[in-house]
Amino acid sequence: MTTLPSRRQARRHVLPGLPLTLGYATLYLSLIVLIPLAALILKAATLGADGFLDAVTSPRVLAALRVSFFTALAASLINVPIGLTIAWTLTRYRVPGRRLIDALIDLPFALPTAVAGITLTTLLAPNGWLGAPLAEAGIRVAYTPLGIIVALTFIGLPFVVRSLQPVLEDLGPEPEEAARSLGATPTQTFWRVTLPALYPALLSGFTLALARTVGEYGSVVFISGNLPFKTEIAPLLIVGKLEQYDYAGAAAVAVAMLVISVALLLAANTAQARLSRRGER
Amino acid sequence: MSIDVTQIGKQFGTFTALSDVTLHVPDGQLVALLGPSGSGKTTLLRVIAGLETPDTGRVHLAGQDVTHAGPGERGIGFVFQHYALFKHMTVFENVAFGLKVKRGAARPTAATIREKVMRLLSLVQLDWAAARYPSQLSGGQRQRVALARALAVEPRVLLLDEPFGALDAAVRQELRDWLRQLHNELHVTSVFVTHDQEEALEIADRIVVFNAGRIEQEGTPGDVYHHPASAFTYRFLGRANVWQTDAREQTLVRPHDLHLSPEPAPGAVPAQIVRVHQVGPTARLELSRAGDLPSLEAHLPARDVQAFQVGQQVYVSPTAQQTYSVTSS
Repeated sequence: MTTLPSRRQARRHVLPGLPLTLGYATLYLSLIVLIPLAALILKAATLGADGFLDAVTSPRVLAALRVSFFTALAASLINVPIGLTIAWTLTRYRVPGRRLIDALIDLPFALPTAVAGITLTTLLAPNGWLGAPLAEAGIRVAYTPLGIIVALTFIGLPFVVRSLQPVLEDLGPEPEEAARSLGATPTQTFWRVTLPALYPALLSGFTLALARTVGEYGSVVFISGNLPFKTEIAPLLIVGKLEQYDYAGAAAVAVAMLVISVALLLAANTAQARLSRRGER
Repeated sequence: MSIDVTQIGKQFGTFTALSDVTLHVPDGQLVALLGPSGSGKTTLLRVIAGLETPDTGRVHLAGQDVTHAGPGERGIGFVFQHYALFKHMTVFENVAFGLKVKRGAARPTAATIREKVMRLLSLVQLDWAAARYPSQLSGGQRQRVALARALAVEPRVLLLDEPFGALDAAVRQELRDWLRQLHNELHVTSVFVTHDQEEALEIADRIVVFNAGRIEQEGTPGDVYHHPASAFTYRFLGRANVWQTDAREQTLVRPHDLHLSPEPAPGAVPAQIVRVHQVGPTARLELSRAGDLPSLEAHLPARDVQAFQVGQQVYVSPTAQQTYSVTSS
């Protein structure tokens, strides 16, 4: 028999340098995330409790927050089935030009968002290539919340596709073949076997897209028309307040967005942890 | 239920996986498809299951043509090498899956499903694990869940693709014995794929040896082992020494069929002991012969090896041998 390792040995990590890496991680996180956020909250706090509440509950601010979160949620939800279809096609079939399509997916990452905004606006304006036939059918896209959703869908798509791709590649055909051999129809196989295996990845793609699009500014300002109470998004309102030297008011709106975003991300992460714990343990 | 495949051919691109394979599996037998990887055995199993469509030929189950039927319509159960369990479902839900996806009147009530699943789980000795997820079980346990899941739909044919291939040696042996036992109880026609000749020889009623997309030989384990029809089968079923070879013929001898003696004897060939390896009940001796004759490996009971040592001159004669024409290998 070999002797049992001492407690000290057993606790030693295979990869060295935990204290060092933990130190660096904390330092960078502080410099890049925590200190700016703290400054933001401090700035908003100069308004006092009543002033803060007045600033964030003014009808125009509430309307802008509603537009921001509603359009971001809608766009991210739309991206889930679209992203799933694209990721599925790219991983399961050898389509011609697959590499090109694969590279195009990342375009929204690389393209300056203002360029995307201007292009989409030109395309979808009532006299644009797509906007004109849509206007004839009675659908207005540019300068409406629908236009914002289109821009945010464009921005958020790569997050869903890139979250799903590795999981789909990993999944393999066996569970589906097993389901078919047990008498399940293709539809049953998809809903009961394939899709549930993708839930954690779908949720994380959705969350990433949401986090990215809720604060999106560049592409939205061109297509939204920025009508207060209708198509004005919260980031634009913040910029507006800054231009009027209302720094504390801008910080207050930013803190409101921050709180809602953190709550949404926390809920999504909890749900995701629960979903993946079933499969991973 | 009997299985008949007739003149099956299957190409993957330029690779011929199966060519002109015809096989009859009688009702209630446990048959092993044995061969090296890439020899077509798994493809044939998948063709029988309906997971692969053959380019040519027909598949009949119990006399009925199912060549173009989907895997779910054939009444088969399929067990995968890497289990293919549904990770997001508990063990219970995995086994119940085949019953729950039945439609209309064919679908049993929840109480019937529950009772049946628990009965199957106790058959595979996993009733205690019903509420666990596959990731919480060991490899051997997962494969037993996969087997219970396949049996839940009461298949008329059970198809197993290298069912023990991913398991370690001790578990493999245990599950092997257990599968044989289960087959004796259930008598469901079963076909399993393996590249492990020992596994096939030990539990199968019949063995089908595959080589390069064709059936090389077919018979009971005794037939196949004692009367290999070709040099390929001879070599695949155990270690082989080339005793003698010329342009037309080759004589093969198993290591345990070599007799060693310190004294010359009629028919014996002189050889020198190069190495003695002795662990366990059998000792392995490496022998080199004069000229360009191939060297030999001999297996002796460990207690007989005392008489020999490295460097010693001995006289070797085969007690059994097989001669094949060279073109057949």
